[in-house]
Amino acid sequence: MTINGAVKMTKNTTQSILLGNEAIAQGLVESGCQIVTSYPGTPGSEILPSVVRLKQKHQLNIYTEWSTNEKVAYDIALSASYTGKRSAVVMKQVGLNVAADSLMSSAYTGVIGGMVIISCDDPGPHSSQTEQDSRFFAMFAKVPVLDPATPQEARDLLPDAFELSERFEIPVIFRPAIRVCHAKQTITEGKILSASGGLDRPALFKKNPNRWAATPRYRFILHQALNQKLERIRTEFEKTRKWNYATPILGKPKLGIITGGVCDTIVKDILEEFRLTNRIPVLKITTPYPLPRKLVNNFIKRVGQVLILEETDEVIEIQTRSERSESIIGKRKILGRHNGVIPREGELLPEIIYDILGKTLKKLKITPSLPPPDNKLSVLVKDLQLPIRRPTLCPGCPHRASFYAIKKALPRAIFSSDIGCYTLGLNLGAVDTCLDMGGGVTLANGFYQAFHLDNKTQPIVATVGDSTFYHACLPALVNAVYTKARFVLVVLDNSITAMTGMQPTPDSGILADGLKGERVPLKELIAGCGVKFIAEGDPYEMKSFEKLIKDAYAYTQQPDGNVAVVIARHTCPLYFKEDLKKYQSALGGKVTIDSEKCDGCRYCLKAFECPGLVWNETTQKVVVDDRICVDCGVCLTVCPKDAIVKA
Amino acid sequence: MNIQIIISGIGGQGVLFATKVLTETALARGANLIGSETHGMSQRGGSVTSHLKIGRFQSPLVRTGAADILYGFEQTEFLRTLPFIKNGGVCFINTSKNTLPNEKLQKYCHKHGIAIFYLDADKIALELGAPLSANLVMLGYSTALLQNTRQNIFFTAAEMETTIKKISPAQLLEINLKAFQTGLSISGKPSQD
Repeated sequence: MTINGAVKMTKNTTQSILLGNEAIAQGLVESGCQIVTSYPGTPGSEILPSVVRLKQKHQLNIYTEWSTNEKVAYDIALSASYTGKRSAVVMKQVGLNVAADSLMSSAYTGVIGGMVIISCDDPGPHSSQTEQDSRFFAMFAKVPVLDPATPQEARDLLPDAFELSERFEIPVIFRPAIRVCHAKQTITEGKILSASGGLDRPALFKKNPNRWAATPRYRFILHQALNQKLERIRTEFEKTRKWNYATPILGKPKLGIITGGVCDTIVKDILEEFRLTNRIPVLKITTPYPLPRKLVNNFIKRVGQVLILEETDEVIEIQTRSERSESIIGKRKILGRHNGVIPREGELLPEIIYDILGKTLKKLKITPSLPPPDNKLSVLVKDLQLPIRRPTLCPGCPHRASFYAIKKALPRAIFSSDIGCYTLGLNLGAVDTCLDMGGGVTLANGFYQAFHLDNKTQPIVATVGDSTFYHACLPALVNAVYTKARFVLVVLDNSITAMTGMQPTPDSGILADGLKGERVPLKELIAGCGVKFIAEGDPYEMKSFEKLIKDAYAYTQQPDGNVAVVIARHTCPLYFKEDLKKYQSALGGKVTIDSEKCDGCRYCLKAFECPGLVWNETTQKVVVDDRICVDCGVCLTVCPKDAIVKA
Repeated sequence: MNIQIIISGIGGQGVLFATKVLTETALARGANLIGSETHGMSQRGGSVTSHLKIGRFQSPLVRTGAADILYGFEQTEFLRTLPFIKNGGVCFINTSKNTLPNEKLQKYCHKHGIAIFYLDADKIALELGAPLSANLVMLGYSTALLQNTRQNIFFTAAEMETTIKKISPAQLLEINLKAFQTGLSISGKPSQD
């Protein structure tokens, strides 16, 4: 079977090329997991849709949902596990911050059916506000964590993760990094457990208030039990040779390497390429917490110095250097982040690991060493000073129109924004802050109160997307109304969660598997929060939309004023292509530049920043790039010299 | 077969489809494969780099200075990813310019046996009436050249065509094949640094 790759039958197995996230979905259904909840976020967004495809293809009895946020998703998976069913909750690493309250508490209550928390890390970071290491969250919450190195390993490891969770009645964190999630690999697939009927367990909730509703006195007892569980799990991990194993140690090597996750694959490729596999042993740790200390210490005893390679923080390193291990380690030196051998930030790319390894071999006088890296070509390319291709809003994006109008209406405002495509409003100078999910509204609250203390009138405009609004802005908006925080909130409603790959929002009423749920209309929800000023408009109609923003601001300044909300309604043109076509035919022509009128002032490039408008070095004028312009016609009103025209 | 490939370009140029042609051909051959795609935050127009390793590899990323083959579907992205090529490697670049931007780079590549083949695949694709099929023109062009010059390191034209037939959407099948075959036929007198 396959998800969307090709299939090749070998003797007994099926092979296909899967994305890491598809392999994880495969692992989930092969484990008999029956409840999968998620909130989209790079690099984990493809996992839930892949589970949906598998459940539809094999007609599996699996419940899947895009939850409104990660905390909600967590709790749904958790209580399902209380009934004995296997469940999983899927999110990006910063999603675990949102679900942290539930995580910490559920470590104490434990679970019945296996529960796996898939938290996808983003060393780099490529698409996140932090590079945080989910393995630290496991230490903090006192739950075990598994760290797969490849898509194949992720798939193979998941059934064991469920088994572990069930045996010790504890939630298990599963931490694939972006190079697992977004890697592609030839995968050998296994049997789907639930399809064979092996794991269709009836839901059964055994009441036990001392556990599920534990008061602080019982929480102390649960904490004791948790600590005991962890030691038993540690003992279990000492024995798990399937996941924690060393390459052969021949003689008394001067250097050994301990690896976790993706770093393991990079090190092994380098050792293989330079025929060092038999000279430098590698201990791979797939269970970084609780760390199998004996296994690690025994490895350390047999080698000279030890290099610890893991992403993104020093989880294995800290535990290895902890007091209990120090006496065993003795004078053997641990090379890692604490002594500056490994950088503390950024992704450990192959060239960085090559460099670290080369320097270490040289320092320890191990021969043959690695050839010194030749950076000349990199330097020559750097000297070219190639233009950085910064991410921009797509041509035809309604957010661009909204930002342009907001800036025109209130140029002196503080613009607090949020997490989504619209963060790219930065390029238009219409985003001043981007903190976290919901931060657009809460920071506007705080800005207002700070200036209000000084009796200063400071215009403030918050921008948040529709999906983000449902995710984290409801308590924030209630708070703003309640405390009379006078600012304008613009909800950028494009009817979809665009940035993470077009997931539906509660406003659409469409569920993760395409079936119909119940619509939760945005406007009624905002009214229900107590907002008295709610206006709706299409940002493509920029002039009237600009007026709405001004009206909203005027309301905030009235004696009985409060927070005002403007809903900017226009669908994402990448997803709702028919809607765009309507605009194109209404325009009835192509957008072009009247080169007589264009005087090369570049206002449109700076203030509107559409990739369809480009600078022509030869003519020193702006031209329309017909290959990417979608002829939405929004820019027609932008040029102060009226040079942007309809052909 | 142990081969490391980088394909770079910008969103919308078909970097990912070209990658798929290569990965599915590798699968059909029964070769092991691992790779990774990286792209920036934007849906369109951002840098896209695809890493592909066929053979005995565990990590999905190509190290700088380790790629056997580099495809550049766009001039700037090609230059940005040029440090991935190894000494003695082969580059195929979709460009209207037939040279590297400066003498130092030219000298470096010459000295280290890095072969660079230039092709205005955008123009060819446009002439075929399918501006988005430059990726397949490039694949065809490189397949022919690699078969002529470095047999055994790459797939045959027949293998590639089988894959293209298998994975192209029905409405694009004909034009995809035509683009590939057009690329294949231009191997006569390559423009090379």
